[in-house]
Amino acid sequence: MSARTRRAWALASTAALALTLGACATPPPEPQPEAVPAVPPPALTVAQSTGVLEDVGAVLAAGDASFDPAGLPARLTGPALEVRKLEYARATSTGGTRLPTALPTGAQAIVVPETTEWPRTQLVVTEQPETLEAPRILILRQETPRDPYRLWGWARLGPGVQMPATADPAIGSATVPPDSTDLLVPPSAVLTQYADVLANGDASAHAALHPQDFFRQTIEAARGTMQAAVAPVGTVAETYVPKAEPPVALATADGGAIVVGAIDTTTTLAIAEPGIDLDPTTAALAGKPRVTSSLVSTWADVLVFYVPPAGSQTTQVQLLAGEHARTSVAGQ
Amino acid sequence: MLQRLIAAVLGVLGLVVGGLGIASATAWRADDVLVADARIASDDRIVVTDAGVLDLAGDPVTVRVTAAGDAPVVLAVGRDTDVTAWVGADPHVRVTGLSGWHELRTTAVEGEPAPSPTATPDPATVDPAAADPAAGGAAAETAAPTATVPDPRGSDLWVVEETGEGSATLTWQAQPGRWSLIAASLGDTPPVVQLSWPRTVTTPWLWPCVAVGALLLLAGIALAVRLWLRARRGADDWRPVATGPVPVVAGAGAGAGAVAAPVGAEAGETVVLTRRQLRDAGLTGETRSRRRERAGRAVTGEHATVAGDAPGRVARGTSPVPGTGEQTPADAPVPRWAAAAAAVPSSTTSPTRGSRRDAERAPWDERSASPAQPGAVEGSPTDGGVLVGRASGGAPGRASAPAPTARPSAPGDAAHRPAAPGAAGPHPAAPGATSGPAAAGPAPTGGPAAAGAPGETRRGPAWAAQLGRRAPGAPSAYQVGPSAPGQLPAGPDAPAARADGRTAGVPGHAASSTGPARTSSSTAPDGPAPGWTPSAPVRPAAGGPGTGTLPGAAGTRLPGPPGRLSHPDASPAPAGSRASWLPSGPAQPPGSAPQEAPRARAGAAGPLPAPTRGGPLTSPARSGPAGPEPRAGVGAAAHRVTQTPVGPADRTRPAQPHPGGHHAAPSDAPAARADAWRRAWGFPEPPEDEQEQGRTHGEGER
Repeated sequence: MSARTRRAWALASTAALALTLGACATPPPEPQPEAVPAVPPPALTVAQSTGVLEDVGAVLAAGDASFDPAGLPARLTGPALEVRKLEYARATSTGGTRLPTALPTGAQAIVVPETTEWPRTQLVVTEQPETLEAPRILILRQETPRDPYRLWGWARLGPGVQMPATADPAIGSATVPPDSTDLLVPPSAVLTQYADVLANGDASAHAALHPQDFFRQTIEAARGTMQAAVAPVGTVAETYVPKAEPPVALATADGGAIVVGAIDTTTTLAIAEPGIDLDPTTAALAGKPRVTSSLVSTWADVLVFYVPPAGSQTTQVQLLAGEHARTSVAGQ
Repeated sequence: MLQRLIAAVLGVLGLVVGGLGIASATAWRADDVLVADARIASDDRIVVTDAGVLDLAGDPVTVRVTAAGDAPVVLAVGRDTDVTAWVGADPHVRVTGLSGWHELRTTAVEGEPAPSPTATPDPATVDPAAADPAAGGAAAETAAPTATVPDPRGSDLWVVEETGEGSATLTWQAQPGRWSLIAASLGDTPPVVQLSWPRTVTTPWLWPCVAVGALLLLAGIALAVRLWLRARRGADDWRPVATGPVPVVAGAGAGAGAVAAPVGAEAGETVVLTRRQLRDAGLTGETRSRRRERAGRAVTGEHATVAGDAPGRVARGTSPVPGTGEQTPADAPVPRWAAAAAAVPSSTTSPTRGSRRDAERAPWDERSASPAQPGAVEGSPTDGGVLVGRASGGAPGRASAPAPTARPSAPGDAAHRPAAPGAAGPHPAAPGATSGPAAAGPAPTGGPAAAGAPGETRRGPAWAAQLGRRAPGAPSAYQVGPSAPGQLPAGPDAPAARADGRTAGVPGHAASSTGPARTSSSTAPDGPAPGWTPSAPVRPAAGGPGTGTLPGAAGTRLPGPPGRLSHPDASPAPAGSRASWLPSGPAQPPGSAPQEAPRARAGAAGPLPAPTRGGPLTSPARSGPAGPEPRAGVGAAAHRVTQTPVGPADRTRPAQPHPGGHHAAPSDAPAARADAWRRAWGFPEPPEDEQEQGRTHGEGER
């Protein structure tokens, strides 16, 4: 008993001594990370964005050099990849007379989303290309963490368009949910309405919200030309269908949002006998110089809208940029 | 004891705490560069750090990743969310901090969806701590082929990225935000991640520990010092001491253990006490002693006899011969005086020398010298000496004998004297002497003094006069007595003188008388003396003895001269004895009385003589009583005596001086002086009883 007691005492005293001595030793530091911010940080830093753009530019440059779309998927996806393939094909078929769309990668402005989620979309307003065309808005998208940022699409800024003020890229812009009611029009409804407007023109119920714009004019003009061209032998029918994936909305400084979306436009030519001859470009794309029954062209319309916040003095959605590019042509 | 323990414990604690504090800043001080490794035992190829780990211990962190076999390795930093998202469900190792100063704390994270069955980590691989290297390696091998290691390279999520073959190093500057590191080995071996931080090493415990330790130590020391001081002072601690009626000043200090010593000390120290202290202490003993003193003084004053003792002692001290004298006295009814007388003669032996010298000096001296011779004579003629001694002794006895005893003694003496031829003379003389004194008695001072030698008195220093005045009637009587004896003996001597024929036998007296006469004449004052002297001569002439008696009175004075005369005569033993008396004085003086010599020579040769002669008697008286110092005192007295005798005796027939001065002195003066020396030496005065007893004892002894 006494022995046990002694042992116990010995242990206790040893422990006490150890603790006492240990107290004098400097404990190793513990990590002291910053608190998790209430607002997610910008997905990419400016440097990262720049890096991404450079990479995209490098890929495009590589593709443009040989009109080989093989390397594009690394940095292109979605409509951009399709359009670029078609453009390469067209360029190849035409021997380089119709070069692919110039896509400068120098950024005038970057709209960086605040998000920890994927996919992430960020917009880059590029510099004016060498062709003196309108600056482009590049839409970069990262589907998953391990995916790189890829160029999903681009759009030309409309003439006389004033980009809404957006948050500094170092801060990042909030992502507006598609069904947000804080905007004049919910982001998810913008493309639908605009497609209806495109289809129906001023007769559309949403025409009030979507005034006439350069993209609509272009579409209507192109449609009219086509219809006039095929009028003797056939009819032209165009359908505008917003892409299934919801548009991305990034908040602007005034509480509105920049809504980015795409509409698939399908132009169908119903042609009766004896058919029509296709222009070289189209013929090259369609793979046949003459179509006798139909000619279906698909277009990828990348649209960038500015949707003012609800209750603001501005009552119309403004189209900032749009690109109507053919993705495929099929004729029979 | 407990306090000591506490002090010790405090001191030790202080040292320990201080030492720990110092050690924390030295031995245990952290390195300037903190390097921590994360060694992964599992087959995980990806290491991810939590947010904050990179800037865990310093700003620029240097991350180094290595992998065996030159496997491609990747280091990248990105937002923690991005990294986490990038890693996703893949198994990886998460670094959460430091488990030690050189070891990273890691946690293995199991991948959710197993890409392949083999990839499913078994428990061993999952738990890094328990991981068995072999098992881990096996698992890795099995997993490697099937599971593709995700390649983080080139991701847009990374802010910084470094790659390498086998090793890569990345430096990360801290940035706002939450950043994570991802390290991956793309080969078959797990990466080893090492983080290095520059450290600003702090030693937060140093000063607190040192301060506390110092305080503890100081406290301990202070306590110890306090204890030590206390222990040291312990003996000195004040303790109340109850003093009794007897002052015990010194003894009180000693502790209980030293009781014995203090007592002794007390005994010794009490002696040291000053009178004032004694007074203050209210010593009853002291008061008693005082009373005694007073009583003693009174007593001494009363007794003239005191003189008697002195001679006796003196005799002892100076002369060996005295023995004979003493013995005789013993037999004699009045031993003291006899003894005294004997003593005187004894002194003569030594004096002789001195006397001779004196003789050479001056004619008077011759006389004095002559007396010495007689002394010598005494020495030789033992028998005669004895007789003489007796005779002289008798004479002195009578003389010294106080009034009461004197007469009675006389008879005794007479009895003795009969033996001597001259004794017959003496007898009659004795009566005469007695009568003389009696006559003188009435006017003690005046009588004797006048009788002694007016001239002398005049000359005689105040001394003699004083002595004379002081001397009561009784003393004077003694003086007379002695002198008388001297004369009487002279009478007897006279015959011898006659025999000598130098001076007529009668003339011996006459001579003596003449001697005085001369001196007296020289001094002039001796009007009376002459008168006497004549008588003396006459008487001598008339008949030794018969006249002697009458002249005795004169003789008293004359005695001195007779002595001298006798000296010249030298022949008669008795004379010698007397002569010895006087001479004895002188003899001794030369040797022993330096002090008084000056005085005697200078001023009061004449007067002194008287006193000196008396001195012998008186001085003895003084000295006699005083036990202790008597010697000194006596000696002094003796000196005086001797001196005076020599000079004075010769010049003036000091004879007179003897009587008057001596007696006077002996009575009162001696007492006063005796007291004086006692006071000076702080001796208590013996009570009267003792004095008397002493005398008796002394007699008995003798």
